[in-house]
Amino acid sequence: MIELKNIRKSYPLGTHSLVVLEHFQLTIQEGEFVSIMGASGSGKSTLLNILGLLDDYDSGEYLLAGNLMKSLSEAQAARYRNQFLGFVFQSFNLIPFKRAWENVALPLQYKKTPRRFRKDMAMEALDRVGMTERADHFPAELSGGQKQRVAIARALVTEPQVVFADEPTGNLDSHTSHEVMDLFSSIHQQGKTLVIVTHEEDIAQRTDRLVHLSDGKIVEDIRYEKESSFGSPTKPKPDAAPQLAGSESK
Amino acid sequence: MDLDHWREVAQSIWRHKTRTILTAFGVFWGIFMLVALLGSGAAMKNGAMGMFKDDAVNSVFIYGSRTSKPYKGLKPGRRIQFTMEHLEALKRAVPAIDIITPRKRVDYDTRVNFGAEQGTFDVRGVLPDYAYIEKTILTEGRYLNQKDLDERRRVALVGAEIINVLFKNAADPEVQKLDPIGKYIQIAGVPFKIIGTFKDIGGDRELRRIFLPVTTVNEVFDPSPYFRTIALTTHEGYPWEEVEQQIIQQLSKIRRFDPEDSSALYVRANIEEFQRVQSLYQGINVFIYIVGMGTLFAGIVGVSNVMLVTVKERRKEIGVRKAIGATPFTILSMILKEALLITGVAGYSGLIAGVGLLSIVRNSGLETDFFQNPSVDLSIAGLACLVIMAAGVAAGYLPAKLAVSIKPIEALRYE
Repeated sequence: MIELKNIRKSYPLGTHSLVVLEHFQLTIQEGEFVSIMGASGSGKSTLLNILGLLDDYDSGEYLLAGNLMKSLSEAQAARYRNQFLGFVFQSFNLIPFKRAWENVALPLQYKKTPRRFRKDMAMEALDRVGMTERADHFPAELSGGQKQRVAIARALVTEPQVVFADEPTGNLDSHTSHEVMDLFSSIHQQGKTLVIVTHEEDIAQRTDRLVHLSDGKIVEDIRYEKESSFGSPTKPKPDAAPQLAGSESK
Repeated sequence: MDLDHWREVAQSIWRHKTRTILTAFGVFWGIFMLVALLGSGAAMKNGAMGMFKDDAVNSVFIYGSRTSKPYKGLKPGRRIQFTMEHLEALKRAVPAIDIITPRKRVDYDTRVNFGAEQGTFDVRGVLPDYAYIEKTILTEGRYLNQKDLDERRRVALVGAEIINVLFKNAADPEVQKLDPIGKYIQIAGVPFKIIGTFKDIGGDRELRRIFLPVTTVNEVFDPSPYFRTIALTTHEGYPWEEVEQQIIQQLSKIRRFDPEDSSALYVRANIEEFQRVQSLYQGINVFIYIVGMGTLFAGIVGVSNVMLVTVKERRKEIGVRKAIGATPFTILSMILKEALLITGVAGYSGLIAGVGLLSIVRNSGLETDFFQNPSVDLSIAGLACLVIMAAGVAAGYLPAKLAVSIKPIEALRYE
């Protein structure tokens, strides 16, 4: 699903440049549930920016669902993000003057889904996160956990290939954090590929694979054995396979 | 078109409604001022141009006077007069001339009476075409015609004032009831049949005129073939300055006087005055555009400024929109639509208010001779609409550029 080959990324810093990632390799299979950990300055934000098509890289190759993502124009990157990726943010980032369902429907508007389907699709996504009853509420009327559920519904509504979550529990108490992680687990069990950036060990342990970064290098790559997992996370699920083939043929 | 895009724009504006209304007022006022000033300018122009409605705009009157310079052995002080032959020669030589007619005055104060009723009026001998030059408006009967001229008929076209004096205000109530058309009046003791009555917007002075066929005047009052005044109109498309030179040159040849002799002829061209007034009001119009556009520009700067602030406040939101798939174009059009909606609503309100004010002035009797029919024509309203659209794009340009430059990484930034 995700293949990073020999990635180099540096930022200009005065007359020199600061190299954050070099010869970076990472492969994430379809259906994996991965967490990325690392101290600040370890390169995890840079990695997420590259993975999430929010920033370009200097050299190497990034294949997303078999497509090379390189030197994209802003508009191309926006279309790929809209088509392939879902985002969940630390501060939820719901648009305050839109109702829950309108927030969820927004990516559909950018995807040019016909207007009459949008509300139904948004309600369906809200149902998956258990938030149908709050569909008409504004973000200010929701608790942190509820906001994050709505944000997850927004990330899922376009049926993306990969969902990226940046510190999704950073603003939540531990009880709500675990509820959100339960939700991620169930989404994962529905066959989605999930990548979570976190600095919390217990959150990382809820995933199937932990990639630990330090100084732009992978220092640990652990696969947790879970009795409760359905099937092997490294092997694509049979029902998810046609989805991949379909997107590759586009 | 996706309705949701416009709904989003309206939602966004509604969140800053006080701020938006306050700044949009600048655009409202700009368009309002532009429309109100242009309407007032048009009214002043209408007032000034009204003075030229009396006679045809392209009418020219040439008065023969006395020479002041010797010419080819001729002494100064000669009277310059014309005959019909001179007129025809002039028309042949100057192709710009359309209608040309003599105007032969019998007397300013010719005694005219109908039975006991009498008055003194201005009696003139002309050709039938003269009616076009003075824009005489026929109220009853008919104009003079070629037959009247050829047969030297004793017929008269009389002004409304003459009818008032001789008939409508007559002492005898029987006379008051008479239809003047076909009645005979005595002009300096000679009976003439009234064939028509006219009015003229030039004022009372012009309503005290009686027009007779010039041939009849020659026969009855003044056997000399000479007359001193020529009235003519010019065809369109000839610059008057050239036509005037041609006329003076030709007449100086025909009547033998020095073309440089300014006292030999006096030429009064309506078009000269007309052009002078027209260029004055063109200047006023330019001034109005500068003032109006300046006000509008200040309004645009205000809207642009407030939208810049709004975009800065919405940095994160725009970043999120981009992260979840909004293209730069989508963001650009979102901000431009917002600017267009603000300036559009404000601008059209200004347009309506301006047009409304002008129609209130029109209907309230505030009009005078110098301020008539304040209104903006369709082309100006259309122009205002274009200006409003352009104002919207101009106001939205910088904010939209700023919004487009916001990176989707903003969404990941956590404060």
